[in-house]
Amino acid sequence: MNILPGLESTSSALAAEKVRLDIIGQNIANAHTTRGLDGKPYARQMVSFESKLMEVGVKEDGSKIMTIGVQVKSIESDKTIGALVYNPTHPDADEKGYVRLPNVNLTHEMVDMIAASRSYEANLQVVRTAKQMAQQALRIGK
Amino acid sequence: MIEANSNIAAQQAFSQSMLSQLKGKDALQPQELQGLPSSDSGESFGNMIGNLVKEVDDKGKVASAETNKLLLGETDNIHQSMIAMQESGLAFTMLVEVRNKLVQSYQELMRMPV
Repeated sequence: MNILPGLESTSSALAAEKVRLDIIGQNIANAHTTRGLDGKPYARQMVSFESKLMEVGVKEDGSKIMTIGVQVKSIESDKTIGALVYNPTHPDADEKGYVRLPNVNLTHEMVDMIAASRSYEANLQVVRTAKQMAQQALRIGK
Repeated sequence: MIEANSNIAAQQAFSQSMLSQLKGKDALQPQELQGLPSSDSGESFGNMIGNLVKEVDDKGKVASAETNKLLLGETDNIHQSMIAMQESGLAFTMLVEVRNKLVQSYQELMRMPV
């Protein structure tokens, strides 16, 4: 019995958007980190999604019901080079007094964050609409 | 969240008591219905309703398990628990709707002038 149809793929999308927001948070947190884990300035991380085939149930004749969901394919670093700023008092400045800043652009991250949040909202709207449809159908008898 | 959980527990208790009642009725049915022609599918109406109650109960159990997992910190996907709870709630509403219709039919029969 599937009362709320199509929610498996929506649920996977919600999980994926959560990971995306997680990574955006990480980028914003490290927007000024001049010494990352490898000693170099922090490199901005990017999330990429891919489709995945999900089994959502079995039909009466024994065949599987499949749907296409989404999952995080990879989290990769942005290879662009960050700005070089002259600041001789900085602890991570080179011998000429220049500091390499991370390639995180706060404006880009904010835009990405809005996109992730809106996408999450859109998927939640699917959940809400599916629920409303079921409720409306249940009200037929009243 | 705890309130929702207890709600699910109440739903489960209700569907389980309904299930046991139906099971009790099943035992009586063969004698009662001997005179009536059996249905084509070979599945009794009581069984059908029993299956429905079982499915609704299973949904309640899934919702309960998901919420417990979330509260115990084993997962951090709020949406899965919420979706499971909504689904279980809707399934339960449907069960109640079926029950209302059954009671209504029974009352309709009882009002029939003899």
